[in-house]
Amino acid sequence: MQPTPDDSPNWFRQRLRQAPWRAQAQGTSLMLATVMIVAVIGALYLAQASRTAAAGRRLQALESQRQQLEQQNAQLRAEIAALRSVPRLTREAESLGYHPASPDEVEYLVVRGIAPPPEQGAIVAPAPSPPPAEEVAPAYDETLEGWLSEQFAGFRAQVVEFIRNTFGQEQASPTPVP
Amino acid sequence: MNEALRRRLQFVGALLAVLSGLIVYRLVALQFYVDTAYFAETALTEYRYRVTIRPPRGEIYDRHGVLLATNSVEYEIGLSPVLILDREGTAQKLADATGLPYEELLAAMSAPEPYVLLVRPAPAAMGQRVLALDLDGVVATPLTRRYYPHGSLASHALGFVNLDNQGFYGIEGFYNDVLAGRVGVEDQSRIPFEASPGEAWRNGSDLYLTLDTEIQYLAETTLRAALEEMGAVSGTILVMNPRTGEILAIASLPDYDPNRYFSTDPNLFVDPAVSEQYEPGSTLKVMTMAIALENGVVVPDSTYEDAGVLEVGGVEIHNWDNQAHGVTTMTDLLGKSLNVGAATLSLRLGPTRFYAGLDAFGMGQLTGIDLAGEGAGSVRRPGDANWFESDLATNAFGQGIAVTPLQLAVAFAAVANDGLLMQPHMVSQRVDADGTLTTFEPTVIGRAISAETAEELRAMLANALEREASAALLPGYRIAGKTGTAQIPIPGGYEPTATIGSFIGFGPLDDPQFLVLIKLDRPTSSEWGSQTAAPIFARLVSRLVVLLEIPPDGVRQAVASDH
Repeated sequence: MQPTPDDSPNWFRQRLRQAPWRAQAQGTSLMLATVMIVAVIGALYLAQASRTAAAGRRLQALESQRQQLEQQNAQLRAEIAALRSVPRLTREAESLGYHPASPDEVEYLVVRGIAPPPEQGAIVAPAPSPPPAEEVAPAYDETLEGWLSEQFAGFRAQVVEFIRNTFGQEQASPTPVP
Repeated sequence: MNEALRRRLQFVGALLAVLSGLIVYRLVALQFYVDTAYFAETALTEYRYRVTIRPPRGEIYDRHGVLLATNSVEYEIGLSPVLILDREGTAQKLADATGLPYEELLAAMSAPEPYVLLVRPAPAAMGQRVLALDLDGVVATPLTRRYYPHGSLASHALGFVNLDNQGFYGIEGFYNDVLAGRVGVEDQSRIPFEASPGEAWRNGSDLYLTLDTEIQYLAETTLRAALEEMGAVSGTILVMNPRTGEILAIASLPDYDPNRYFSTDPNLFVDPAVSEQYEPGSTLKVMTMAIALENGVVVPDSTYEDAGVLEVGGVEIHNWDNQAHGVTTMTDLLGKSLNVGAATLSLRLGPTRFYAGLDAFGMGQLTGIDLAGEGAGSVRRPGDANWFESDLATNAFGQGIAVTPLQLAVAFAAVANDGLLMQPHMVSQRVDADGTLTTFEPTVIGRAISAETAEELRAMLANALEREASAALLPGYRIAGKTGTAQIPIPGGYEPTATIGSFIGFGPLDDPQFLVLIKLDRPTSSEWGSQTAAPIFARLVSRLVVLLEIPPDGVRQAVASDH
């Protein structure tokens, strides 16, 4: 009959002597477990860093695109302004046979009872400038620890919810094992 | 055997453990103990870089929202030969996009330099075609530059901007900080890519001017035609609202194209209307008369004996025609532009009251207009080392005193505006990047004369013009104004023949809505302002009343009588 853990204080040594490969197996298992944990942590970090880098690249590409579109808009505004310049419009009008009116070519119609409109001040056109610069979003500074904490909190909330739904309100938290 | 193998494995394991321990020790030491500042800084410079963000410069509009200055994009197109794999294909595509010869492009791709510049500056359309091709080794770098769609129109008023986004002269110079906005600085990381908030950047503010593009164009074309017709070498036309101080047009020739400031004679950048001073000549008699009326020395019906010559401080004052005019009224003094009469008034006033009156009109002082490079003019006073008794007489008819065209216009506008001096200004509104609108209200900067004196003087000026059948008159509209013919000072005296002909006037008389100053330098068709500047005034005003939609006096008064 094999000695039991209660039989002898040297039970553990006895078992090792009988099966020394168990120590090696345990050591190897421990090492493998450590390596796997490190690998998982490394993989998680790498995944997060990759997402961050991808987001940053996307942001840069969008910034570049926005800048390009703003430059195109500015260029179009400049071209429109040149086409609408007074010297050019005057030349076009004169080529069509128009000439600047002199005072004796203008007829004023006095309509009794109607007051002339008040003098208009400077007219402010809709602001053609680009929209105000939006506030730069906070830096993407989530850490692995923060991300793990967030995942764990979410997982814990799901467990609590599951238990509440399965076992009812009075057993909202798991019963401790004696 | 097993024992030997076990010992070898133990030895190798121990060796590996020692090596690992050394590596871990070195890692920890580098991280925490060994010159961490150096490595930290080196790491930062390797993967972090600073980006300077230059926001777009604010745009400039006229009073009706017509765009006067904006930002356009040109490109610098270049290539890195070492990065181009398919030279023939790339050269062909580039040739189609840029119009450059295929062989030239192929040769550039064989150059030993790491970077070869192809075109700078390239038009926006060309740059965007090259960008759309997305060719390896070919870059099209955008270059933002200031663009003035109307060319040389209002060039003096606008100024220009250099490649460093720095404004010079005019509005660009005066409001440079407002238009430029705030440069932003951001720290960015390559590893991993990130965008972190740095110093906030702010777009430049847009400015809406008081200028009216149509009136500005009218002023410039009228001036250009006047220079040619009158044989003048240069000139200035200034149009303003005397009630508000708004500058509707400010034109000086010769001018320049601010799009090509880099190839322009720098002497042309200075705006003669606000920076260059000259002796105003007979136009200053209006101020002399105003001061005399204000101080009660004379009334509109007063007379004086014009003997044709007056001796003051050892200097003989003569009328322009060297004639004596006998008993002369104040209105005829203005109409006939008599130097003896003006000197008589200043002598009766005495230096204290006369120069105090000139101060009240802003002579010798900056107006404070929002344009870069304003000049203050020059007034010699009793007590100055170079003031003489004869100056009291000669200053009265605008000799020995220097003003800028703007100063004279602002002073004259006070006569139109019931004696109130208004702050001349070019900007009416400012729109910031966040949409905040700031309006600049008309501002009174002083009172030169009383409203009663101003009204009397307006009537005298109008009557004087009509009595002399001035060429400045416009049928249907009562105008008040004064001609001026000034000599040009040189060391030791004045030029014998060259003059500056000018006319300054406003209307309609009963409700002044515009003031126009015409100044022609060295006209050859005639030396007299009444024959050079006065007809130009009438020509310009005949179009101006149409642009400003000012009906003839009869129509306006009929409308006014109905309400």
